[in-house]
Amino acid sequence: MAALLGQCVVNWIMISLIYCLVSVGMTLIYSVMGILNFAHGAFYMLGGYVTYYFAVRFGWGFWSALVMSFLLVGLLGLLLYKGILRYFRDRLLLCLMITVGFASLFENGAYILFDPYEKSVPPFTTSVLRAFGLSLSAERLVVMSVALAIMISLGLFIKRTKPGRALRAVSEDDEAARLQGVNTENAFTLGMFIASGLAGIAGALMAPVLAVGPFVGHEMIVNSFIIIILGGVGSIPGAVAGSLVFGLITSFCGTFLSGDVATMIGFVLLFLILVFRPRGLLVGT
Amino acid sequence: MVPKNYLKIAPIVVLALVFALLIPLFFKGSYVVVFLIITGIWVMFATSLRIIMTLGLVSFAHNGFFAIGAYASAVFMMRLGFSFWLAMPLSGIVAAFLALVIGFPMLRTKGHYFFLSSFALGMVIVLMFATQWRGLFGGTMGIANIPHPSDVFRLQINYYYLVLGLTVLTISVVYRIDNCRIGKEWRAIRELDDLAALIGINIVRAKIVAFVLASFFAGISGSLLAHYLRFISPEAFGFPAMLFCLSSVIIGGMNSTWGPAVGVVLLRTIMMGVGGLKEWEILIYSAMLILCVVLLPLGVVSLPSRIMMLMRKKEA
Repeated sequence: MAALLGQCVVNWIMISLIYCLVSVGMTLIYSVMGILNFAHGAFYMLGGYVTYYFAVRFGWGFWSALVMSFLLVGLLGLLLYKGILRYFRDRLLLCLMITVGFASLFENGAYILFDPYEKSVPPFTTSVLRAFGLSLSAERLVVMSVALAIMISLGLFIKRTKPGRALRAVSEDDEAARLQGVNTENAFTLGMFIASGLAGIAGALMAPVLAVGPFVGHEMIVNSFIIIILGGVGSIPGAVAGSLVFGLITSFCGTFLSGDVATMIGFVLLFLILVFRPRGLLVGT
Repeated sequence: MVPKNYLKIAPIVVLALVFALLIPLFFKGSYVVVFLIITGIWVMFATSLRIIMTLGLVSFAHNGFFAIGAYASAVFMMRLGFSFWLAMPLSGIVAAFLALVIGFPMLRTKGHYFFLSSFALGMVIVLMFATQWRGLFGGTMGIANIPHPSDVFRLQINYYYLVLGLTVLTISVVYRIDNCRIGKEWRAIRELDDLAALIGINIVRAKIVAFVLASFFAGISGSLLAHYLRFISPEAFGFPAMLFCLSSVIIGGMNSTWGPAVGVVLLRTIMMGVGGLKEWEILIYSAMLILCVVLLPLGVVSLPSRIMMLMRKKEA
C-alpha cells in the first residue's frame, strides 16, 4: 500500500508539472491577449509528433528534438496569431470559433497526414532507481526535473527580464502599457510564441512516457480548462495551483476509482465552480 | 409586421419548399431519401442552435440536449411503452425542462465563462450516457432496435415528409421570432447587453427563453434521429456533432433565419462527395469554418448581396 501511494505521489508530481506547462501557456495567452486558445491541446499533440519525427525518423537526439518541438510549435502559434487571430482579438465569439476550427483542423490533419496508429518514442533511459522501498523509473524523474526547470526559468523570465515585464504590463492593462512605451504588438507575439512552445515541450516530454496519437490533445485541452478554472481564469499562480490540485484528482482517482469517474468529477467541479464562483477556488482576487 | 424584404424572399422560399416536397418522388427508395431525411434532422438541430446564437451566445452543450432528446424518446417508447406521438413531444419537453433547471445558474455566466461552462455541461451529458446507468442507456454500446414511430413510417418517404414538416415548423417559429419584438430585443442583447439592460430588456429572462426553446427543438430533432436510425450511441453525439452543427450555422450565416438550413445542406452535399471518411469530413468543415469566419463572417447567405455590392462598385 505504501509503495502504491508512493507511486501515486510520483505520478501526481509528474502529471501536475506537465499540466502546468500546458495550462500556464493557456493562461498566458488568455491574460495577455484575452483569447481562450482552444487549439492549445492541438499544440501539445503536435509537440509529440515533432519529437517523434526528429528523434525517431531523423535520428536526432531526444534533447534536440525537444528544442525543435519548442521552436516549431512556438512558430506555429506565432503564425496563427500573426496571420489570423490578431485581427479578431476583440471579437470573442469569432476568436473562439477560429481556435475551435484550428484545433480540429490540426487533429484531423495529423490523423490523415501521419497515420492513425499511435507512435512511440523510445525512452531515453531505462534505468530504475530504488529508494525508500520505491522503484522509480529514472525517465520520469528526468521528465519531472526538466519540466520543473522550465517552469522556474519561465517564472524568472517573467519576473526579472525586460520582455517579461512587458508581458506582465500588457496583461495588466494593454492601453496603459502602450502609453508607457511598451510595444504591445511585440509583447503579444512573444507571449503567443512562448505559450505555444510550452505546449510543444509538454507534448515532447510526454512522448516517451505515453504514446503519441492524433487525439491526445483533446483530453489535454479539457483538463487545462478544468485547471485554469480551478485556479481562476487568467492567473498564472492559479494555473500552477490548479495543476497540482487537478493532478492529485486524476492520479488518485485514476488509481483508486476509475478514469471515467475522475473525468466526471472534473467536469462537475468545473461546471459548479464556473456557475457559483467564477473567479476560481484557489486564488482569491 | 411584414418585413421589408418579405416579397423578395417569398418566391425563393416557396421554390425551395416545392423542391423539397418533390425531390424524393424522383429518387424513390434510393439513398437520396436517406440523405434527405438526415439532412432535414440536422437542419432542425442547427436552426435550434441559432436560436441561442441570436443572443450572441454559443452553447457548446447543445449536442447534449440533442442526445437527451434521442435517449429520452427511445426510453419512453421502449421502457414505458408510450406511443411515438407522445414520446416525441415529451423528449423535447424533457430537454427543455433540463435546460430550464440548468440554465438558471449557467446563464448568469458571460463570455468565455459561458463557453467553458456549456462545454463542460455538454461533455458531462454525453459522458453520463456513456458511463452511467448502463442498464437503461446501454453504456458505450448505446440503444439498438428502437421501434419505428408506426408502420406507416417504415416507408422512408413518409418519414421524410414527417421530418420535413417538423423542420419547416421549426424554421417558421424561428422566422416569426426573428421578425418580431423579441427578435429585436435579442439582437440588441447580442450587440450591447449593458445598453439593452438599460432600456429595460430583461436579459436573464431573454437568455433563458432562448436556451429553453433551443433545447426543446434540439430534443425533438434528437428524437427524430433516434427513431430513424433506430440505433443511438453516445459516440454519435460527441464533440464532432457539435462542431458540425456550429460550422454549418457559421458557414450558412448566423444572422439569417435561413443560414443554418443553407449551411447544413451545403456541408452535407460536400460530405456526400467526400464519401464518408470521417476525418476528411471534419478536416473540410473545420477549414471551411475558419475561412468563413475570416472572409465571410455573415456566411454563404450574405454572398449574393456581397456580389451585388461588388458589381455596383465596379460600375461606379
